[in-house]
Amino acid sequence: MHMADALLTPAVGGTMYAVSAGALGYAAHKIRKDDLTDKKLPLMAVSGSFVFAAQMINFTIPATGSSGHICGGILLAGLLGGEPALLSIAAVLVIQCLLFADGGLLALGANIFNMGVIPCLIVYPLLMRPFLQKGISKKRIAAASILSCVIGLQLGAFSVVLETLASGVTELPFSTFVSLMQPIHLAIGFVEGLITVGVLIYVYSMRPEILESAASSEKLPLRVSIGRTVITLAILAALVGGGLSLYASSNPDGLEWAMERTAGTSELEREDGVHEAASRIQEQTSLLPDYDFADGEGTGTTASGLIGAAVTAALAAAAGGLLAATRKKGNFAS
Amino acid sequence: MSDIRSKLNAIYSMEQLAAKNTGIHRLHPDVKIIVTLVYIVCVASLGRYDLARLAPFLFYPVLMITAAELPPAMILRRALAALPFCLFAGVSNLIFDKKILLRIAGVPVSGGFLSLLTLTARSLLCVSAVLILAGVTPFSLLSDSLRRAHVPEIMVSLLEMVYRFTAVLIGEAASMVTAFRLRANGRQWPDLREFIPFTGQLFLRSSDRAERIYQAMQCRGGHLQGVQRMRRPLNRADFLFLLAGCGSAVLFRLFDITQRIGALFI
Repeated sequence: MHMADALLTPAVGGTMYAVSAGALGYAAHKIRKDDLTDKKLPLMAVSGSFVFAAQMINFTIPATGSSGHICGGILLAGLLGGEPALLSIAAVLVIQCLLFADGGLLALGANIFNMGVIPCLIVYPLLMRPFLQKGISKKRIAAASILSCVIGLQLGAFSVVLETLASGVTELPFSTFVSLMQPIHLAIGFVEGLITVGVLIYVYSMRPEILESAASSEKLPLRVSIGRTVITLAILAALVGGGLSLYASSNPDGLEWAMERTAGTSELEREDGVHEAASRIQEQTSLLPDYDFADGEGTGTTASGLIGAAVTAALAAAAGGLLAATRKKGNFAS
Repeated sequence: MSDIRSKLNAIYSMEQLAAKNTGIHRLHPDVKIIVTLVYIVCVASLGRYDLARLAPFLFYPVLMITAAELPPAMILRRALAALPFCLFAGVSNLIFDKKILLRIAGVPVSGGFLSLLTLTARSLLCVSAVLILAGVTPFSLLSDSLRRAHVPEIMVSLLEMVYRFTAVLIGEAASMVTAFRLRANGRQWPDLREFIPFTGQLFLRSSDRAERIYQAMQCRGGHLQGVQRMRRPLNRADFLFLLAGCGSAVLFRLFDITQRIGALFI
């Protein structure tokens, strides 16, 4: 679910940076306020590294012959609590971005939001923590983990769809995109939920104090009804997974305004007769006479753009070669 | 397994690259971060059909890789690893955007194909810029820049600790997988049932390690207040790099340079 820079416009990327920065600031403030810093920091760091390392281990998916790995947002939240888990996930995403090119620098805010803020600051406090605060048992851990993973991944995947479409880099209609992303992530969420249940129960049976500390370290300011929360989030997930796609399929242009604004197609359609004349002249004089807008509305703009691009790329390569040669010469001289 | 080891190697090789001492490596980290961000914003803000306009942006990675003595094949290989999701979005354009925009020697080129190429090229350029930044700046200097930008100390310290312990824990995971494979009759990965105690055990080992780290920090008076920051004023080379890096990116973004160069030939 890591998004790359090329999938986002700076406006969408910047907005998501602002949202995630706000969430991270809140989490850092909350941890400091609760005076959890000293003791929690090493555990947060090692847990973040643990999720990173655990992502390296694949597991065989039964009856498919393929393998998968965990994402870890809800798992970390269960082990550390929501706010510390968000900071840990954010640190992991920064390192993945810088060292492994998993997700871009411009898309970092969006990735932190989709994989950190949603599971740790929305799903965990509203769903998982109320479950566990009423008393930890294996059944409660199982129910809370599976529900949280499924809903967290559904919301995260939906957020990816919205961010990509708002950036206008894909021609996929909203309904098609949603119907591709949501079911895949429903299955992934369920498997992730099963693993999260298993790991949390394993840790609880070996070291119960870890889960108890995470669930009780932050008391909820208001009384939250678990039933009501589950129903609300379930309705939200259903809306996201099914309702909105139905709405979109009956209104296919629902989000296409955003795509139109960034696609630049109107610019291409603005070509007129003047350009046709120029095109005819260009056909007779240019090096690549057939290279132009297919409908004859071009002006040589495209041809010169391409030739210019080729020349520029060649210049860039030559500059690199020259620089390398100069450096080599310098090394020999020294 | 080779995948786990390759991740470990990726961390170590980046550290080795960042420890070099070229002119680019000696530049102020803040300046390198700003130039990288401006470059990415300029590349990402180009239109979906602006393939040709991406060409001048090749100068930055080519010159940086050469000047900083980074291995181009490694940067390209890692940049390619980031492509799958972009290709997913781009390939869908092939299906939905069938409007013919160009003809090259009589061969029609659809908008979807053009936008797929643009998306791929844009993605490679952006990822390369980030990898170059990581390859010419040690991680400790990057986190120092975050401190100067007033990012809360807990987040910066956490980032540094996660970075440090990720390599250790990936090594531990690799050892566990090796142990599993030696006893698994040729199976590569544990099944779902085995995976859970496997991962749980890794977490328990990790939390024990965290406890030891906490005690070691306490013994040495470690705390988050008063962490030293690098204080190096910007020099002339930094200003020049900032001007050239940001100036060229903004120039290429605002003006269609390729168009003008191409016009000289037709």
